[in-house]
Amino acid sequence: MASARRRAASPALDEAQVAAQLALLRRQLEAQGGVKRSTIKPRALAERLARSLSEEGCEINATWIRRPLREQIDGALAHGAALDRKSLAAQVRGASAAELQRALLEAEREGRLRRVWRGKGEVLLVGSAPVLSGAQLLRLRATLGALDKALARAVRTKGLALLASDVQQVLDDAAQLLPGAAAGAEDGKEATALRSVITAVGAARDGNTGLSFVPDIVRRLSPAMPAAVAQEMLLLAARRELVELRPEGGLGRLTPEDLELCPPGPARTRLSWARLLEGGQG
Amino acid sequence: MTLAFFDAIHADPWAPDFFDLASLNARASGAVEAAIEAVHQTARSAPLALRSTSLVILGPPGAGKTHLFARLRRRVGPRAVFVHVRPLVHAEMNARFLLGEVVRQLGFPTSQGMPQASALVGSLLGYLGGVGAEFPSTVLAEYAELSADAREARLEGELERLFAIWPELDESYLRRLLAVPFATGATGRALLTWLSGRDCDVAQLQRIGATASLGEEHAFGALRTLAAVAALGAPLVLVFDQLENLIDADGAGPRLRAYAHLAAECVDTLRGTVVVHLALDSEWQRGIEPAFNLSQRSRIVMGRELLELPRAAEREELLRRLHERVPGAREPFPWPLGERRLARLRSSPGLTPRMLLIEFRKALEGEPDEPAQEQLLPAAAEPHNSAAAEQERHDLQGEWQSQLQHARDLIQRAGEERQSLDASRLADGIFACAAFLPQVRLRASGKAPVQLVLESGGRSEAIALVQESHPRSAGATLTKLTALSSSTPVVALRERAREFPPTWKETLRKQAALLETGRARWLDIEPQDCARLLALAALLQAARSGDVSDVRGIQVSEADVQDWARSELDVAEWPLCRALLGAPELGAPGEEDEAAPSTPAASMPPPPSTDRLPPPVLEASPAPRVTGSALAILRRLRVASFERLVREVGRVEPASTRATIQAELETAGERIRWFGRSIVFFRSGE
Repeated sequence: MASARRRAASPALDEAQVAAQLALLRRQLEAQGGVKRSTIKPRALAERLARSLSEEGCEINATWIRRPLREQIDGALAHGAALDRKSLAAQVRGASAAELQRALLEAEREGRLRRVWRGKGEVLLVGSAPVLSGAQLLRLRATLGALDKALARAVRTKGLALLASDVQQVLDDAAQLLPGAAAGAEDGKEATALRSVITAVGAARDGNTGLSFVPDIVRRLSPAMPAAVAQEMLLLAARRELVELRPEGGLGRLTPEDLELCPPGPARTRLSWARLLEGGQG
Repeated sequence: MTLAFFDAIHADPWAPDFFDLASLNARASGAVEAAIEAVHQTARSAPLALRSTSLVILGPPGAGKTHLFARLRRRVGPRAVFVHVRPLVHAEMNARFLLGEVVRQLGFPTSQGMPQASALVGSLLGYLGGVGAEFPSTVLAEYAELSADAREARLEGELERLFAIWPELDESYLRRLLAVPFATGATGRALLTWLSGRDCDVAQLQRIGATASLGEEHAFGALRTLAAVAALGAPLVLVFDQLENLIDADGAGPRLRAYAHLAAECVDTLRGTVVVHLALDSEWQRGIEPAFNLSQRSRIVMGRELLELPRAAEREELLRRLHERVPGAREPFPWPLGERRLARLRSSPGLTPRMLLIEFRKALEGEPDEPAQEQLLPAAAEPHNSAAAEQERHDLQGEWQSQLQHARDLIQRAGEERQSLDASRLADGIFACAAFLPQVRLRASGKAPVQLVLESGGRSEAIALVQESHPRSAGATLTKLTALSSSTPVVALRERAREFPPTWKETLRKQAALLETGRARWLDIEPQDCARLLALAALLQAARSGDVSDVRGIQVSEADVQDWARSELDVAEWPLCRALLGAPELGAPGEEDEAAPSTPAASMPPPPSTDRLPPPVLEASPAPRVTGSALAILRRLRVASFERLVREVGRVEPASTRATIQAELETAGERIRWFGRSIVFFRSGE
């Protein structure tokens, strides 16, 4: 015998209950990013809440009620977080893989997100993260590539060594390419700048006389340190007795370009030679 | 102590007054002292193993290179013989020049007062006698007490001991060297003249029992002998200073190469000598050392020391000691600087000891401290205002007067010792003049007896300084010049103060023969011109070494010094330069304009008569300026030879000439009376 069953009619929604559920759902969305629609019972309530939250800017699809995907991605990468794609996907609720991929591409295009190689894989960072530009990458590669070759040669050849000051110089050159290196001096971080200057004095040192030609020092520092800053730092190093600056006594041997790079000294001299003092060698 | 001490901002290697901070550059002076000590030790243990050492000491201008010499001389005292050599500008340095410098400075005092020659011989005799080299004066006093024969015999014995060590020593040279401390007055001077390789006059040769002066070919042998025997007691310390003057405008020239050769040979062949090379650091690094070949470099640069600039504590100590030298200082240190100025001087980068001295002097004179930004303005960027330029000119006038006075002292000393001035240094002076004579070019001649070649308008003249003291040597030079005149016009020069005496008949005949060729000119150089030549050469040499400063203590470049000299010294109008260029005498402007010749050949005087020299060009000034001193001096002397009167007047009025004195005497009328042509008498009672 066939039975005829009729679906029961949905009970009317209590407005007070709707408001309470809406508040609860907002807190869940804030905390989790998304809530499955199926977890909200009865269905009418779910639909009612979805409509309300959609009006507030949340995104609704067949399965999920979620905070906007863009907001979730930005939130996950806030505060300098570096996440691989899997970790990011785990923190974003309510989006399919394809949908997430499209959102990431859009974020990258808009500069809100950077893809960075870190360790053994690619990670995602907020767009304002201090990363090296393409040109900087090329320069750094050239700088360190030379060191890499030198290291390889030194390791391969028995008895061959590298001068510590040369290696230090390369490393400092590389450090100068990092964003914020030049800004360090401007911010009053004199120690770093002084260290760079002293390293450059050591690197430009003539093996016979122990003197370093000041224009050479300034040129070595020039990628990251403007000539005027380098001169100031040299004068500062001299006042702190880390470096001795010596007046030019030559017979007009300084070219106009070299002259420009030498800080002015007392009695209208130009300080064209530098010598590391004990304080600067330590 | 007077404030004059603060005026001497450039170190005098032989100054009796000395100011020092021992800790400053102790390393550099210690290196030289260690080298001297090593020679002493080797001399005691194994004299045959004695070798020379060579050190290079470098620093910027005013860092104390010359001061280092003075410090070592004072500190080591008679235990070493110090020789300070500044290079020749016009010609290459050779062994003869070096020997001349060494022996000339043997006559200079050690810090203890005894002449260096005595220190050398006394130390040597002490060493040979077994009492040690430390008490030269005691040993010499012991020898001096002996009778001449006994001393001779004892010296003979010591000579034999020396030959037992080094048979190759030059015996005649060594005998005369050992005789120097026991000879007095003219004999001592004659010995030193002979030992220096310079030309001795007849009387000098007679005094020392020599038949001829030391020939140029014996110069290096003499140096070897001198160095070897000195090494046993008081080693020779040869200090070559201001070497940047060896660099020619176009880089490493023959003078630099000759220097490298000479220095390397000294290191190779002189025993127990310490050779020190002082130069500007930048010039040595870029201009001098690169010119050496590897062999020379290995010999010359055995060790290298950099002069350090004073640090803050040393600066303060230097300034404090300067304060102690102010007689009756009004207030305690840091007066006269003040705290602020002292703080600036402690911390300003690049300050040399000389700059500190200048700053102290300025403060002492009440000059306020410079604003920081002013002192930092570079010369190239700062337009000089006319007042500042005027100030600089005034100060260079002071530098010039100082050099001139130094040259006059040298000339006076030479006159008192009846010596001619060094022909090489006079040639340097003439060479220095060339920079101010745009119409001519002077170049060095490598062929004796010609020192320089004057080129103008496609023609050239050979310039020879005939400064020989012996008639035969002078005659030989004149003969060579006569032969040369057939191919090249010749200008022969000689000091007026060393005119050939009438008794040198053969020499005078050869001089006349030279002038008769019609292709030779004879110029007498007045003492005033000699002083100018020596002073100009010294000023330009100092400028190149960065040793010329203006009143503000600002180092004046070589180019600026030349500009100053061009505008202030009027070198082209100096009588000697006018004569060299063949210009007519001053005093007749119309004639001068009319007769200005275009080439030296055009101005060549007609051949003189053979019975006497042509009238000296410089004497023939038609309107000599009467100085007013000649009559006063003659009144004091009552009777004197004209030559003596010229000398006496020249001492009080260096600008006077024979012509001015002659003119003054002519105006005296009946107050004076002549006996013949050479004796003059003041008729005071008549």
